[in-house]
Order: sequence, then structure tokens, then C-alpha cells
Amino acid sequence: MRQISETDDKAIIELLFARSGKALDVLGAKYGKLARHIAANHLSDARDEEECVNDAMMAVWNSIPPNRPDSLMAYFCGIVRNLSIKKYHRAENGKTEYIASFEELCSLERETAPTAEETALKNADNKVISSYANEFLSKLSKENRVLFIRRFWYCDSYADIAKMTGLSEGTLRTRINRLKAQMKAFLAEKGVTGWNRE
Amino acid sequence: MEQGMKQDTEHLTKKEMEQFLDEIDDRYIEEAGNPEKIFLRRTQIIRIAAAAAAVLIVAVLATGVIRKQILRNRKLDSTYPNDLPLSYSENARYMPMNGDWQGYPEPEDLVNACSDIYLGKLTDISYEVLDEGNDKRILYTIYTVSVEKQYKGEKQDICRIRLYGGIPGYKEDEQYEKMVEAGLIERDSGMMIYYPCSNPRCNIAVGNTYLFCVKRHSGNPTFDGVINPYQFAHDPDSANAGSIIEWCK
Repeated sequence: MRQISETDDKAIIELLFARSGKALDVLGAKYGKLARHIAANHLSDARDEEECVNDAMMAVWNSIPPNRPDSLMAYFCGIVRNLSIKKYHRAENGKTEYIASFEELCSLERETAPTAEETALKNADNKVISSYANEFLSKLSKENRVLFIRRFWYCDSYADIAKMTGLSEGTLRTRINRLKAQMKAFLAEKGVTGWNRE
Repeated sequence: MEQGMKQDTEHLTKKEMEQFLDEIDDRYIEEAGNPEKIFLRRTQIIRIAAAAAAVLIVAVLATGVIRKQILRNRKLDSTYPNDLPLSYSENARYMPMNGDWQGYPEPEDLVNACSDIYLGKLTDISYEVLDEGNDKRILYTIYTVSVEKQYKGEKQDICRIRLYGGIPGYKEDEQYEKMVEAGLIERDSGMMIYYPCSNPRCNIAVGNTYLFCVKRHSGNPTFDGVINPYQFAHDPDSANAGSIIEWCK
């Protein structure tokens, strides 16, 4: 995957603001491969993947302007991911890498139901784990953060991440298991209901 | 009921997890967009470091090989240890004792001429009058050595090396007394210090470590004899010692 410079992104956004059709060509040329990769991680049908990427490009066209994202790449990829997840659930796809990675992350969940007292506490504190996502990620090293996001946000397979990083799959699994344990400990520390007990 | 609660909990947790992933900041998504950049840089650093280490190892090995060759091919120079502080008496007379010493400019020849070559710490310098047979008795300097490493010959923990004659300027009274006790000179004849007719000679000091080059005679294992007065001891860090050790291998 090529690195896209900040200047390139700004130029594409300017084209979008100018309502130039060239904007979508450039967007597709620069981020199309990445977008298809994300869609493929979530979906099992090539036609669905392509449709998803096209829908995402239309969504970009329709939302910029008025939006002016700081990171066009993250913005575009986020749309691709959300559309892919929606399409996955609609189409009842088989088990894709998206489901594999998501289930892996959810395997951290508690094995017993929360008590009434815990539920009441949770509701009172309004503590939801999503509010801690960026705080948790900010505490990780850059490498670990990238591994975490590649596995659970981009939904890359271990084999793909191994190819990208040069790490062995075994090392990768060990590191990601440690990251999950770190996440669990972090959330427990924050007192997020349901995570502070095994 | 229990099962129903479990289902609710799982659903809630997955929903929260989805929210967790949705909340991830765009800068982290972008940062993770190019993992090769982050990880390959590290891999490249590791590869460069490994290559540098390999080059260093080869250089060290090559240097070692070259050094060995240099040490084997060089001739022995005329340096010798000169560590012993000397103090001469005003009334002493110094009498040279003739000897026929062979010198060894080639380290290979010196090693071949020695029966024993060892690294050791000089623990004592003393004098003894020894019987040479045929009623011939001579004053000897006795060097006592605690052997640390044997390069040639059979190791003994303690070796005594003898060199005929004394040492002008070192424990002169002791030399004189030994000569008088042995009846080699009269007490009132004045101080006579006999020394081997060889100049220069190794002046080695107690407490120092040297590489010793000696001949051990099976007929007289009590003492090792010096190879000659100026090549029997070497500073272990000297080029001469390095050459001799290389030829011992």
C-alpha cells in the first residue's frame, strides 16, 4: 500500500469542494486498493466488495462538502468499513475475517451476567468502553497500536499482518493476545462494569 | 432466565465493542494504514545492524588471522624485561663468568630449542651454591616461578629456573654470604659478585608475570636452565612473546 501524503489528500478535498469529477478518479486511484482490501476482509463476495467501495465513493462525494475531514484516508476507509459491516449483516455472509477478528475481541467478555447492582452502577456512571478507546490506544507503542488496529479495525488476517510487518504469525498472535489482556486490564482499571471481574 | 441474561450481556458487550472500534481516532486509522513503513524500518534497522555485526566479526577474525601471520613471520627483536631495581655496593667487585650462549633471532628456532615454555609469576629470586660435579661448585641465581599456563612441555605448578652467577646490584650481601659459606671466597677477601658474561640480560622482578623459555633436563628435573640470559624471559604483552606463543601452537 502506498503512503499518501497530506498534500495529496488536501488536493483531492479541494477537487471535491470544486465538484470536479476528477476527484473520485484520484480518490479511487489512491485509496481504491486499500478500500477493496478492507471490504474483502469483511465480505466474502467480490461483487459485494466492489459495490461497497463504489457506495463509499459516492458517500464521500455526497458528504464532502460540507465535511472537510482531517484525514481523507481514515474518513474514506471508515465509510468503507461501516458499509461493509452493514452489507455483511444484510447479506448473511459466511464467516469472514471481520467476524473472526470481532469474535476474537469479544472473547474477552465476561462469562457471567452482571448483577443487578453492577448494572445499576453502570447506568449511573454511564461508563461505556467506547469512551476509552483512544485513551487505551494512546498508551500503546506505535507498533502495538498498529497491530491492534490492523487486526480489529481493518480486520486483517494474521497472515496478512505477518506479510505487512515481517513478523511471524506466532509472534503476532502472542503480541495481540497480550494487547487484549492489556485492554482488559485497562478497562477494569477504569471501572468499566463487566470488566473488573473475571 | 439465566440463559436470557447471558444473551443480553453478550449483545450489550458486542455493541459496546463495536462502539469502541467506531470511536477510534482518524489519526490512528491513518497511522495503521501503512504498517510496512513502521515495521520494515525496524526490520531494516535489524538487518543493517546484523550486517554491521557480521562485517565486524569478519574484520575481527581477519585481523586475528593477519596478526597471527605477522607474529609468525617476524624475527625476535632485542627487547628484554628490565624491571628489577638494582643497588650497587661501593666495595663490591664484579667478576664476569664466561659462558657460551646461543642467541635465537627466529622465534621458531627459539621454540625448538626450548623444552618448556610457560607463562608464570615470578615469586622469588634467591641464590644457591650448587655442586656441578668434579668438586666444582658455582653460585647460581634461582628464579622461583608459579606457572599459570604451559605452552610447551609438561606443566609443573612451581618451577625453579637457574642461571649461573649472581645479579650485580640485587641482594649483593646474600650472594657474598653464600660464597663465603661455601668456601668459594675468603670472608676477608672483599665482596665478589660473579655474574654471567652476557650483556644485556633479563632483569625480572618478583611479583611480575613473564613468558619463560627454558630447557629442562631429564637428569636434573629440580631446575630448569635458561635458554640464554637475555631471551629466557619475556613481557607477556610483547611482540616477542606473541611470536613465541604463535610458534608453540
